[in-house]
Amino acid sequence: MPPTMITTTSPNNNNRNNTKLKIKIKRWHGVARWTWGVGSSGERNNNNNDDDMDHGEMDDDDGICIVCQGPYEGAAPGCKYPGDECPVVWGRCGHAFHLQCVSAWLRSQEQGDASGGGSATPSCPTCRAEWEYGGSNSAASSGSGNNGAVLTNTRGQSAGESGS
Amino acid sequence: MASASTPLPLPPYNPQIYKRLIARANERAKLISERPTSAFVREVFGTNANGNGGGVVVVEHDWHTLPSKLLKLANYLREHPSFQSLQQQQLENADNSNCGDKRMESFDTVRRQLAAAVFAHTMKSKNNSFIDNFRRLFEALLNARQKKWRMENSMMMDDSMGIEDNSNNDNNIDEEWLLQEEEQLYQSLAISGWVPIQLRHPFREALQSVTMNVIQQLVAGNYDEEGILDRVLQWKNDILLPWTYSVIGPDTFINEKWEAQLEYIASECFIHVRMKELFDLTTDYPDSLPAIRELSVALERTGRLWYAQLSVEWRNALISRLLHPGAETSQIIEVYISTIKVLRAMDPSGELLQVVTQPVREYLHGRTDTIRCIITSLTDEENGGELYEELRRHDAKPLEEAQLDEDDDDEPPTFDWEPLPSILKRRGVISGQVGRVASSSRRSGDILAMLVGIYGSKELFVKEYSIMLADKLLGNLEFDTDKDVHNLELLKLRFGEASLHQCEVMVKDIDDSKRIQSNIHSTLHTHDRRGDFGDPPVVDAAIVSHNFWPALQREEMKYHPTIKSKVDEFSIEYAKLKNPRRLIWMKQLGSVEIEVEAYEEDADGNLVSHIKDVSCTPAHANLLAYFEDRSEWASKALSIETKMSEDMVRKRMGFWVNQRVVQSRRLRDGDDIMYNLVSVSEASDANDTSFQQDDDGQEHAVSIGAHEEEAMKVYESYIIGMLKNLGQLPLDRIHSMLKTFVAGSDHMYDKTTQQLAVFLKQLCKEEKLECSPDGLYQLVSQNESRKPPR
Repeated sequence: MPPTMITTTSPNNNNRNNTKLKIKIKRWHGVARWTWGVGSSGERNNNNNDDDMDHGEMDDDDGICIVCQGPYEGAAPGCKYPGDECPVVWGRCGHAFHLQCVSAWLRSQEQGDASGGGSATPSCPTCRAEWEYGGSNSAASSGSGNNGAVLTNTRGQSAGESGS
Repeated sequence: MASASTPLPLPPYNPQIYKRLIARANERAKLISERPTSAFVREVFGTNANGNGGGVVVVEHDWHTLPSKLLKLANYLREHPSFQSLQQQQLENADNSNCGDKRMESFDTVRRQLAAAVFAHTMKSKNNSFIDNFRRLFEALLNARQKKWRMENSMMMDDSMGIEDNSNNDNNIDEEWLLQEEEQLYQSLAISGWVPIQLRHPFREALQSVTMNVIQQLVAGNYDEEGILDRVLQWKNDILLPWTYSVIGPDTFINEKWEAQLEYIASECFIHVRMKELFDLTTDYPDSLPAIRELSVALERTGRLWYAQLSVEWRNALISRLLHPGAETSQIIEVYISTIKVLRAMDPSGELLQVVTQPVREYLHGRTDTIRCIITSLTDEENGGELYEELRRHDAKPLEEAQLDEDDDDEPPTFDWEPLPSILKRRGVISGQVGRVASSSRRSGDILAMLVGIYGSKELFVKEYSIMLADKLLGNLEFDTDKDVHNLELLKLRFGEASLHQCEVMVKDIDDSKRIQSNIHSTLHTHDRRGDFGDPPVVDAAIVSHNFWPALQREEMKYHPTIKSKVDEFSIEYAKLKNPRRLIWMKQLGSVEIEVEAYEEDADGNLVSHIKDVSCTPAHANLLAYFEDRSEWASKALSIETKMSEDMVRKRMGFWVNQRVVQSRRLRDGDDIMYNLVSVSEASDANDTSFQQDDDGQEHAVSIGAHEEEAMKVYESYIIGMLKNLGQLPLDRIHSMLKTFVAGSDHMYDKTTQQLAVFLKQLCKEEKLECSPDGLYQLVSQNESRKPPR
């Protein structure tokens, strides 16, 4: 008990001390925002523990997809809605991009291959390492069937499967 | 003698005319004083005939004697030989026109001499009362006729015209007498031949003032009846026409086209009466439609000469009766809308609209809650009224399209195009403002376009709408978005798809939240491993894509462990469902329903308890949760536990004090406030009286404050940047620089210098800036680093 308790001199002191309170939550309607959990560095924040969740509230530093220069939580060009329609994917190197953005990038590299210029293997837009879907936490990007469907006509699908 | 009906301000006399007449008459008076006619006139009009050289007579100030005097004069003329011979000639009906002309001439001479004598002798008196008396006489005559006509028609016409009947009985005698004398009087006047020349002005004035009075009675305050103008014209035909005809004589009547003149006078008076009532016409809009149509007919009939004055009157009426601090913004908008509608019906060219509504637009622009008001009524089904209907119009056009109409014309441009003649320029009263008529949408009077036009762009509207939508969606506990989707679709038609994309995402977020919530709840239900005491999941959330929402208020807060466990349960399920996404709670937003149970053992050892249901914000519930652990908390301790500021703790605990759940007392030492639970007996006593206190407004206004603050924050970096480079700057300079630099970016700089001054003061308070006594702002750190060397 903090010392302040001792200074109480109210007449119904006794009463008060044995009054107890019980709260039953019937409904808790909160407001939350979602995040891909990508920091401003473009790399994933993997420490998904409770502390992070608490401090995350004040974490204003949303990462930016360097291809479209838009926030990960935003919608890539050509997407109407963020989130499900505009997922974020990670490469093995740990860099994250909007799926649409990195697909377009990889496609353009492929075309560059065909016309003779450009690098032989697809590379990560950020670090130029060889691009492969998956990254450190592979279940994330290729886990849902939804994403797989989007990936079918890109080179990414095989990479995604190999990742999982 | 005053006329029976209420006097209206007459069209002013023109004293110049009389002065000229008097001067001329005086000159002639000397010349003609020896003529026989002059002698006769002196005889008729006065006694002191030889008073002075000109033989001017003191005129009696009574129009009642005029008929008899006129009769004498007429008889004098009748007895004159030239008149006799003229009559004779007419009787013989001779073909010899030359001879007739000569006789006519000689009669004319006599008549002119007589008139000259009369007016020369009477003009000189002080108040022109001779002429004035004629005006009174004419007025009385016309009034008498009017009254008679009214009596005769009182069966047909309803009470609107019979009100004045019991005015004063003295006049009745006059009237009867007048009506008896009438015939003779007209004959005298016809013989004297004065009316078209010497008595032109009194005659017109009498005509106009009586017409004005009568029309006032017929028309004023009567908006919703059809055919009032017809009634006015009918009256003109019944009364004015025959009267004028008999006073002025058949020849002049035709020569001077009096039929058309009378119609013009009637229309003009009609317009004058209506002009005083424009504001009421506007506010009564749908009911006053007949009056408006007739007014525009009358305006057309008078050759549109009155448009300019009409618009001036209208503007003034709006300014004096609407645009003052006492009027609510929603009222002003309502009147603005009806004004648009009225003018749309009256003047298709849209020119009047522009001029009349300009002050309203400027005024609305100055009010801060205008946009909010417009959007509320756009989307509010119950109270929206006009605007709600407007949004649902079938022929709704997108705003851009409406504005670009002119440019998109398929017709090739021609070089002989000329602007339409302005209806206002004819009298040049407000010609200056007409040039502002810009886009065709304004001309067409599209109401929404007009409203958006107040601000010049739709962006502001969309922004404000998104803020309101955010508030509404976050307060929407049922995740029911049907209505918002409906509104959004309608708004998209007008504002364009692209500009409302953000709002679409917001609505979709809430839709998704609903799905996610039910998904998570069912998951939690199925693998509920907590067995028998597994209470159903209580947490749900509005999950927002924060990049698409207006800035939401944020505040640090730490959950009580029991609450945290429940909330985390939801977060974890979300992370599983939407891996790799996760949730970040905006902890103080939302709403909570809780059941608060206070229990204690009474003296006999029995358990007594008091239960009440409360709905509050998460922050409130969070605070109260700490009282489960301990029945007493100091505000400081709570502040440390919850990480809320102590101010906020006190403010929020005030809610629980009001709810009679806790009571507070100030500790003797220090400024800490101690809260402890209220005993069960007290709590239940207070049960009935517990008043429903609104949550402090701040909790509700989810985003407004945060939004504005964020807008200003953008400028902070600009200001600090420019001060870093330039050292000290005065307010004006900062203002103009912000205008220049920020214009190109996403954030338009649209603040006033006053707003900027407030913001700069705020920065000074935060000790980021410093303001020197001569009004120069500078950075604080810079100043300090400079100081030590001195």
